Amino acid sequence: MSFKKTALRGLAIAVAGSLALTACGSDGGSGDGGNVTLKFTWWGGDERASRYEQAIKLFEDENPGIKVQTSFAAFPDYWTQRSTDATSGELPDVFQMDASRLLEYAGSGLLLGFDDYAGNQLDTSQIDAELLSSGEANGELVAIPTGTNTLTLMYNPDLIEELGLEIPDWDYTWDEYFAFISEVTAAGADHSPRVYGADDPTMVWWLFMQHLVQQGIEPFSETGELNFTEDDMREFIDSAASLRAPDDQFFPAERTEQLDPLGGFTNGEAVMEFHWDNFIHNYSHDLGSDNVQLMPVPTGADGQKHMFFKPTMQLSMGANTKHPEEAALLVDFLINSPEAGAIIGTDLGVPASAERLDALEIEPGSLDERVIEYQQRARDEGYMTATVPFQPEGFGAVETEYVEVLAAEFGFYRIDTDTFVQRWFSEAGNHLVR
Amino acid sequence: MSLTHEASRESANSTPARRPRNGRPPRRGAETRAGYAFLAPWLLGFITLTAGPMIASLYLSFTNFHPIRDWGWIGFDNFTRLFDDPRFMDSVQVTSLYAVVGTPIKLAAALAVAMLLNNRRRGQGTYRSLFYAPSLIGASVSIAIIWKAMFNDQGIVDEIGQFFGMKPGGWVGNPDMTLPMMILLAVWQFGAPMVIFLAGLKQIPNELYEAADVDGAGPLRKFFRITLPMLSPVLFFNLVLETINSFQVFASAFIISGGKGGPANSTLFYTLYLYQRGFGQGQLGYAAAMAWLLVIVVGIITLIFFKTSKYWVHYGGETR
Repeated sequence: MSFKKTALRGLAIAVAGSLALTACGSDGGSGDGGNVTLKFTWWGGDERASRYEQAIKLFEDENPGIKVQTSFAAFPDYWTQRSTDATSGELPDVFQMDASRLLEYAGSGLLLGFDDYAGNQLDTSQIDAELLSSGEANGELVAIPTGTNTLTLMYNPDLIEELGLEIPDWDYTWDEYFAFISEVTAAGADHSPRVYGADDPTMVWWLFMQHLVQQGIEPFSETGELNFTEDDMREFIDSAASLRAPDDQFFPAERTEQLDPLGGFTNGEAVMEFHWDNFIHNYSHDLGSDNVQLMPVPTGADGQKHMFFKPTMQLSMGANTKHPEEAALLVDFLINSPEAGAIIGTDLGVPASAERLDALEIEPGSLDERVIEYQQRARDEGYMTATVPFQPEGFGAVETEYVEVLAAEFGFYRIDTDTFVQRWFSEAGNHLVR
Repeated sequence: MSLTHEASRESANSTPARRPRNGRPPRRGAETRAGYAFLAPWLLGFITLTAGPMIASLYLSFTNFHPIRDWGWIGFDNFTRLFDDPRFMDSVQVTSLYAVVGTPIKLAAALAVAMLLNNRRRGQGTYRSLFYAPSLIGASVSIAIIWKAMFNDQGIVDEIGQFFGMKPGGWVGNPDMTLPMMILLAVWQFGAPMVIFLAGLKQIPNELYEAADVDGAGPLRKFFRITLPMLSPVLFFNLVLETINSFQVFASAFIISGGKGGPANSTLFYTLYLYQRGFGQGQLGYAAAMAWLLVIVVGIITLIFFKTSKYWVHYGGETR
């Protein structure tokens, strides 16, 4: 055998080998004969995962030709994965979308429009027109809202009773809230484990949004400019200054770090926490108690709460999907199907689909009942007077900077309010302006 | 007939006959080509998976590349921005401290254990494997998780500390104690340098120690005058390798801090911050600039090691 021949053969083997490796990487999405595999992914905890898995099983039974491959991750990791998917053109066929990222993804043409499928595979007639329009970008429908949620103060009545205290009334103010935190922290000092009132609410980005709305400020303009100043942020953060060092009334950052991925509230060491109302399912599951109750945010300076409904989350299709019709069918099932609704309940918000909401059999005393009644009462009391703040491109990134990066350093007193504010504004410049 | 015999006969008969008088091997070109062909799988991997991406990242470091949003050429902006970035400074500080403190401790531990294992005794092989085991599993995800649990409030370290009347508390939530915890995790994985030290120790001629014994040298003197100088090439090798390794620590910090680099940036290692910027925030241009800065700095440090090595590294047979 000549050397030349050996060389050529060697090269051939090398090329064949590398081709084989490439083949491993390509997605063998579909087989022939009507068998289609869809990828569906979401953020959330175990509780949500088990609901989705059950609903997906039902979908597969109803549509024998379609298989659904599922995966999920925690919120921050979820977006890391999606941006990597986006770079390689491998976004899932169907995935959970958030308004804070919608314009970014839609603006780069990463989402497939629903316009060709609405009315065919996907029924959008059951969704309130205004809510549905929250899924539009550049005049095209690219995301379908799953439901609505609103901010709430979740509290643990059993723990509060154990400490011999009483939760404030619904018309409480920010000052009354802070006073109650101090009361709980004092009463919980001898409790085992030690119990605190709550985390520092000024480190929650969406409460800052709520605070701005209560001041009559629409945080962002449609072009992504800021309508609030450094002073606005400083004032909000300093409003809780008396509860920080040296008195340390808030749940300690050291402890939060150790409990991760749980938190003070879900570990039964803090009696309250602000969050979106649909998180009651996750929180109740993590806490191991059904007795988690909801109340509205504190009243603003003008005596009004100025609360708003937000599309909880949305479902989008990756522009790279090879099976748009089946994907749209899956979205329709997850949004509209009453059977799926019975499984999902209010975990994705109070259902957007009127048909599903009507069909939802609410067990008395259930978490679903609590969420729906909470939203109803907030509406009846006249709290829901504002609209959800506009979320420009980069909103998700500046939120992350606020709650993940700066709040983590602030909680350990490594930076002061001025540094916090100055660094946020400097980073916002990188994220908001294209 | 054995194969070797046939092969040797063939070479005896045919090759010399074809070989020209000047002794040059025939058809060198063909042989070279065959060499490259056999190299091809590796070369293909190197070009497509290492060299190509590196060149791409060099280009990206001068852009504000973002996987989703518009991007373009921005010159040296990424590099200048780095020095105004407080978290970047934090990450440089954490990583430097880790390298400067962790590497010498790890090497000292490796050398100490290697010297213990160098003496002949029963079960020597078992001990060697046992001490090497942490290096095999130490980089794994499960160890990082166990490490975190050990150093939590009421974790085993806290319990043992309390038994002895100390109050160590949880190290995981304490920004001042997380770095020592990470260094401990690194030191524990001293197996790889230990094995190399052990090989080096076996190379030291016994006559040197015998001569020293005759001259009445104590163990300390023997260590500093014989062992250390004779071991210096191995020490040099380990030092360079471990220093570079310590700049690249990622997985353990990622797991222990949940990818956040917390508490209060105390485990924000350089590579972790790079990952956060690049993949968490999509600022891949910025992350590429960070990566290249790391390459340059590690290169300079290695160069310094090599330049200073002539003053303290002694190679056998060298006359100075």
